[in-house]
Amino acid sequence: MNSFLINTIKFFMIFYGSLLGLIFTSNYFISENANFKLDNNIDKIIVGNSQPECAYNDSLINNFKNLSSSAETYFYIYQKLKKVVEQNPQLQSVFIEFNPTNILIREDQKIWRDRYINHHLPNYNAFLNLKDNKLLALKNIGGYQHAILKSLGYNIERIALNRYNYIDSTGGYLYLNRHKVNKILDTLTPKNFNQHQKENIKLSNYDILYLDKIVQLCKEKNIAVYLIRSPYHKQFIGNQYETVFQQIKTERFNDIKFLDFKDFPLENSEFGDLQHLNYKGARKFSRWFNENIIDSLKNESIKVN
Amino acid sequence: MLFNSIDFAIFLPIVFLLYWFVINKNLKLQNAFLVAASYLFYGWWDWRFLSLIIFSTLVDYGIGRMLANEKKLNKRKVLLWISIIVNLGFLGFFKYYNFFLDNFIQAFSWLGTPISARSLNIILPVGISFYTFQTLSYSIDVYRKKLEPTKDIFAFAAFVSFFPQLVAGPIERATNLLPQFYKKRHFNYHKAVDGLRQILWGLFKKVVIADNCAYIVNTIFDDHQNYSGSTLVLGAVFFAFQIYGDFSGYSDIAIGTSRMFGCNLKQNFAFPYFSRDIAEFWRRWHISLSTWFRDYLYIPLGGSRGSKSQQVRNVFIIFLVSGFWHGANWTFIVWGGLNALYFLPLLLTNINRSHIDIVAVHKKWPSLNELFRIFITFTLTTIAWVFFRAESIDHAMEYISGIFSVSLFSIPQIRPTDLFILIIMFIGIEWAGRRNLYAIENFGFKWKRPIRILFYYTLIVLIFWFSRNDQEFIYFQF
Repeated sequence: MNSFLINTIKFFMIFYGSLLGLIFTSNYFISENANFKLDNNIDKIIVGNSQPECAYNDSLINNFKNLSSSAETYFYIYQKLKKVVEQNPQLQSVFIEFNPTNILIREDQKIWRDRYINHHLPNYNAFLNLKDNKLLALKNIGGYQHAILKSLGYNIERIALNRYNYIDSTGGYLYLNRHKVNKILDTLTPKNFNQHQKENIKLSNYDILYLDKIVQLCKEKNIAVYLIRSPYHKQFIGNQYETVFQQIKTERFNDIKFLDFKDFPLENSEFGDLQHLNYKGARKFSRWFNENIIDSLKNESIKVN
Repeated sequence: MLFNSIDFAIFLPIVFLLYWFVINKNLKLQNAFLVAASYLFYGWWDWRFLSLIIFSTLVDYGIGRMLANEKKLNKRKVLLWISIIVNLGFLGFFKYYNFFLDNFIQAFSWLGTPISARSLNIILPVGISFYTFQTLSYSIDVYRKKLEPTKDIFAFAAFVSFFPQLVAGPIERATNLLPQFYKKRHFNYHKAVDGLRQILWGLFKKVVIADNCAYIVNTIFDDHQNYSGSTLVLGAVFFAFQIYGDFSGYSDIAIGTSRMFGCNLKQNFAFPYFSRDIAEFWRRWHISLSTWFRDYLYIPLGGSRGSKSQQVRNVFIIFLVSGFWHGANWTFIVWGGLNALYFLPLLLTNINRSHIDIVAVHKKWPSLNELFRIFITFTLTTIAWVFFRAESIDHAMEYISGIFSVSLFSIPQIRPTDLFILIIMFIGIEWAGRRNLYAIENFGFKWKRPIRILFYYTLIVLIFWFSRNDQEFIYFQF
C-alpha cells in the first residue's frame, strides 16, 4: 500500500514538476521577449472589450491605437497594459472602456469561466503574477489546468517560430459589417428602463479591482487615464444599470476623467447591434473623436462629464 | 458527480485513502463505508433520488429474504413479481410515463377521439436504468435458486449502490459482484496500478476522443441541411467514435476504480468496432446489457431454440426492448429494429456464432476479407447510430437522405485534422491491445520503463489539452 502511494505521488510529482518547469521557463522567455512596442508616434491607446473594439477605427484617429479585444476583462487588460506601458515610454494617455456592463458580476465570471480562460490565458499567462494565478486556480481549477497547458503550447509555438509580436495578436479595431438593429428592434418592445438598485444586483468583486490596478499603474507612470463610454443604442439593456453605474463611478473613480459618448448621435444603420457600432458607425464616430477629442486633449481643454 | 470532474478527482483519493488506511479493519466497516461513499457520490447529483435507491435496495433485500424462506412456487412467483413491478414501475414512471402519454394522445387523436391529459415534468434519476436492472437480476437469480439470498444488508446495499458503476454500469450480476462484498478486501498493488491505468485510458477515450467528436457531431447534426453528403458521413462516423469513446470510456473508469477498491467488474466493451459481423458486434458492445437481456429475456423466451419464426420473433423482441431501454423515443426503437434486421440474415443462415475470438487473434494484421467485413459491419452500425443520435425519425431520415446526394463525393466542409490524427492514433492503440481487457492493459510493457511512463504522461497531457468541460456522459441520460 505504501509503495503504491509513494509511486503514485512520485508519478504525479514528476509530471507536475516537469510541467511547471516547462511553464516557468517558457513564461520567462516570453516575458523577456514579448514585443508590445507601438509605433513611436502612438501616444494614446484605448483598451476594453468588444464595444471599443468595434467603435474606434484607429486608422482615422491620429497617434492612436485601439488595443481592445472581445470579452476582455480588466483582469486581462491589466496584464497587457503592464507590458505596453513598460515598453512604450512615449504613451501619454490611456482610455479605458467603462460602461454599466463592466460593473456586473458577469465580468468576474469572464475572467475564469472555461471559454474565457481558454481564450485569454494563453495570451497573457507569462505576465500573470502568483496572486493572479491563484485567483484563477481557486475559481476554476479544471479550466485553469487546461488553459495553463494550452498556454504552454502557445508559448512553445511562439518561441519555436520566434513570434513575439503581441501588439497585433492581443487586440485591435474590429471591422464589423452587420446591421442587425432594425431586426432586433422588431422583436423588442421599446423600453423605459427601470433602474436596478445596488442592493438588487450582483456586482463585480474581482474584475473591478483590476480597473483600480490599471488606474494605479498609469498614475505611477504619469500617464493620463480616461474612463470612456463608447456609444451604444438607446435600447441597449445595459441602460437598466445606469443608476448603479453612476453610483459606482462616483464612489470609486471620482478623480478619473470620464468621457461619455453614450448618446453620440448615430442612425440605426450605423449600429451592428444594440451594443456595437458597425463599420459605418465606427467611421463616423472615429472621425468625430479625432477632431473633437484628440485635438482637445492636445489643449487639455477637454469637456468631460 | 462526473468521473471527469474536479469533484471526482478530489472524492476518489479521499475515499481511497480512508478505505485502505482507516476503514480496513473489518468487512462490515469496509462495506458500510462503501455504501456511505456511494450515497455521497450519488447524492452529489441530487440527494432526493437517493431515497429511490434505498427503497429499491430494501425491497429487493426483503424479497430475497422472503424467497429464502418460501418453498411454495406460487408464493415465490408472487414475490418475484413484486420485485419486478416495483423496479420496473419506478423505471416506467420516471423514464416512460410522458412517452406513453404522448403516444396515447396522438393515437386517440388519430382515431378521431382526441383526449387531453397532462404530461408531468419528470426528472429522470441518473442511473435508474442501470441499478434497476442490477437489483432485478438479484431477485431473479434468487428466485431461480442460482444464488443464495444474502443476509448481509450492507453487502447488498454496497452491491446495489457501488459508486464506480452506479450511474452508468457495467450492469453487474449479483452472482459476480455480491460475493465480493462477503469477503474483506485486501490491498493488491498490481490491481491498484492496473486500475489506475484503466482509468487513464477511460479518461482518454472520454475526454479526448468522445468529447472532441461530440463538438463536431453536434455542429453537423444540429444543422445537417447545410452540410454536404460527405460532411454528413463524417458526422455519423464521428458519432460512432463519440458514443464508443464515451460509453466504453466510462466503463473503463468504472472498472479501473473498482479494481482500486479491490473489486472486479466484468468487461463491458471488447473492441466492438473490430467485429466482422453484427452478431460479433453485439457480443462485444455493452456486454453487461446484452448478456442481461440474453439471460433474463431472450433465453426465457426460447432463445435460439424452437422454430425459425420463433427465433426471429425473439431476436426482434430483444433488440426492440434493448432500443427502448436506451430511451423513451421512437428513434431508439428504430435503432433496435435496424440492428435486429442486420442480425436476421446471420441467424437464418446459422452463422451468427462464426466469429468468437477477436479478429486476427494470432496475427498482426487482418486479412483483406476480415478488413472488408469489419468495414461493412462498421458502416451498418454507423447508419444505425444516426437514428440513435437523431432527435426524431424525421431528423434521422433527412440526415440519411442528405448523405445520398451528389455532394457525397465532395470534400467535407469540416476537416478537423487534429481529431483525425487522434482517432487514427486511438484506433492504432486499440488494435495493438485488442487481445486484452482494455487497450493499454499491457501496452508498452516491452518498452523501457521511462518510455512507458512517458507514454502515460503523453496521455495525461492530451487529456488536459483536449478537455472540453461542457460534455456530459451520454449514457447518464439512460
